[in-house]
Amino acid sequence: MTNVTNTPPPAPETRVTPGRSEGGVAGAAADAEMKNKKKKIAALVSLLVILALLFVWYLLNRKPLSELPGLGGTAMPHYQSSIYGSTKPLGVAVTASGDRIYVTSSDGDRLVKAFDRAGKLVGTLKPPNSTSTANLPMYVAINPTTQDVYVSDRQNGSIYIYDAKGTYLRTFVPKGNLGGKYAPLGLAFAPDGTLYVTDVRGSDAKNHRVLVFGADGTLLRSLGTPGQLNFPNGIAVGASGNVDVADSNNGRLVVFSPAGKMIATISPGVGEGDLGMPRGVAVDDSGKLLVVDTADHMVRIYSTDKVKPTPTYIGSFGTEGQLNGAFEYPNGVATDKRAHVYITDRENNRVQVWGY
Amino acid sequence: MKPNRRTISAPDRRLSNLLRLGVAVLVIGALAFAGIYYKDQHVDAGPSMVERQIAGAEAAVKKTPNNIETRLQLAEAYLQDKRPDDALAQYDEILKADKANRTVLLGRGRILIGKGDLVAAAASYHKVTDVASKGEFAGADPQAQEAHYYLGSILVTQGKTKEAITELQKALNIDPTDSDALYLLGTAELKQGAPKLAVQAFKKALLFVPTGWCEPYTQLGVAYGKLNLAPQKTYATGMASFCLKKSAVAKTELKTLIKGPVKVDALLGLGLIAETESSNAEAVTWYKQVLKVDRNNAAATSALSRLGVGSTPGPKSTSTTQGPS
Repeated sequence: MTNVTNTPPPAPETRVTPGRSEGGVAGAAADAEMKNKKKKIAALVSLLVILALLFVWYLLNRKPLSELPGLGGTAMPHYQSSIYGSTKPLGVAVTASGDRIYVTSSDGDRLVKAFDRAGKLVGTLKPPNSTSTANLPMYVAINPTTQDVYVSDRQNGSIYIYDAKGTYLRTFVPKGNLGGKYAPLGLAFAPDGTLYVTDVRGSDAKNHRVLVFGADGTLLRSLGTPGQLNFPNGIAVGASGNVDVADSNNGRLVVFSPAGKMIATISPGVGEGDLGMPRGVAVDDSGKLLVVDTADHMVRIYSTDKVKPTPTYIGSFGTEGQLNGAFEYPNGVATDKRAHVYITDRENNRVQVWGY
Repeated sequence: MKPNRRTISAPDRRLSNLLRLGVAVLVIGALAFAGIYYKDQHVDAGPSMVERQIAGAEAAVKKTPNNIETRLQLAEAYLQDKRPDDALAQYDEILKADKANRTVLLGRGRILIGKGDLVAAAASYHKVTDVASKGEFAGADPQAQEAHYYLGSILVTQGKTKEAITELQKALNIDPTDSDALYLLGTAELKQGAPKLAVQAFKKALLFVPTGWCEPYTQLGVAYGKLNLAPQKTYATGMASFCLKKSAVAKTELKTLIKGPVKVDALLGLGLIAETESSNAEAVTWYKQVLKVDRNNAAATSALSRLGVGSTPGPKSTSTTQGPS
């Protein structure tokens, strides 16, 4: 006999089955988790893109990150290091990458020294054998179209040309009527290879001028009327084609338009941004104008733009002395495209490297 | 509620792995970038010029320890490196060999003043003045001048103003253009209760250093105050304001004086303020007004010449478009 118990049939399942109910909540949680992960991945991808862009920008410019577009407008440079090994250095030129720095020694062996980025002497640029022993290299510039190095020797009335390794190639021969001998001092190149030379021939300042030569050495024009410039010294060509000349003994900076018209000055004086005795001049790749004020032992920085010919004063750096970052009669200035400024610190026998 | 590990779907796992991979790439990329950036930007500055000088001078002293010149150079280098105690040790070594070395005695004096040992510093300076007073060029000896100046400075600090005035006058007999000595003399005269003499000294000091030095203007104001000369006091405080870079206040104060008894000084002050503001045309106008009152005024003439304006002045702006070349 079957023992049948009279138990009621089980009621229909009303209780939520553990599997199904947990699956529903867990599914929603998993969806949320996945969305969250997708958001994280999107953020991560954004970060990776930013990092990659930053890296590409850096590889293209190799400048400090403080010079990222929009950040470095009015920032002032700070002292980084010094290059020793030249005697009473006057002129300085640097390659765009900053890997070669050429410095003229106005005393001692009176040669041009080439240094690498770490300040190690890597070569010497000697004048041709025919040159008298009284050679006196003053300023140096690099031709942007050939990378040749040009050195002015005021005493011998010559400009010597070397290749990038420092091998003497030839002496610059001006084509055209200069009206007699010239005494080259400051040198600057326009991007197309046009050469600008400050000429301080004779003791009478009325003969002082700026000579402009085409890439083939032909005299194109002369800037400055008789008596307008008094020992024009350093010279630089800005992005707009304006030519900035340190009118040294007049204590001012003169701006010429590309056509050769004098369009603005920075005056001598004791006010903010006024000049004492300007010597070296450079325009960096961001358009900032740097003027070495040798008597005030500092470098003054101005911004330039295409519309307003008069440079606007931003600030100065340097003070008199022998410590790092102090100058004793600084003279030449050059900039590379990596946000470095190189200044010859004449009486301290060194070249100071400043950066942003 | 966390889903059961066993229930994680394949796409979910892929996302998790992708996330981990992404984080790893980001971290490695950032580290690599930082490394490359540092290597590319960093240049070893190497020893500074002073450190090089010290190393060279120390080597020279080791080589020739009895050479006074090399020890002096070493002491000088230590001083530049702000190591006064090391410099003092070198000076003491030199004095063992040359008791009357005036360069060393002056150097010692400066260090001892810095350390606050005024008595020892004064003794060092007295040795210089004793030696110098017997010299052939005692009346034009710059080292004796320096010693008298510092003795005056020490005596002012010690409150011995009468003796200080004597020493400072000796310093000024040798170099009448020493603006520091003139200022200190003015301070001593003021403490001594002689504001008239103080005014003379301060004005002379300011003749040589008219800008960037505030104390003489402030003290000049105090001296004029003691003499109850109100316009003069206003002039001095106005110039002190200018010195403290409160040019607007200074101009307001000085403009109240251009018709009074100190009009020349006020006009000169206004010219100087305009110059420092690079308003050269305005400065020329003020200086020309000075010449209208005092046609031989040396300060105005030299200022106009500094601004590129001769005896027939015409305004010259700071940064102007000029004629064609």
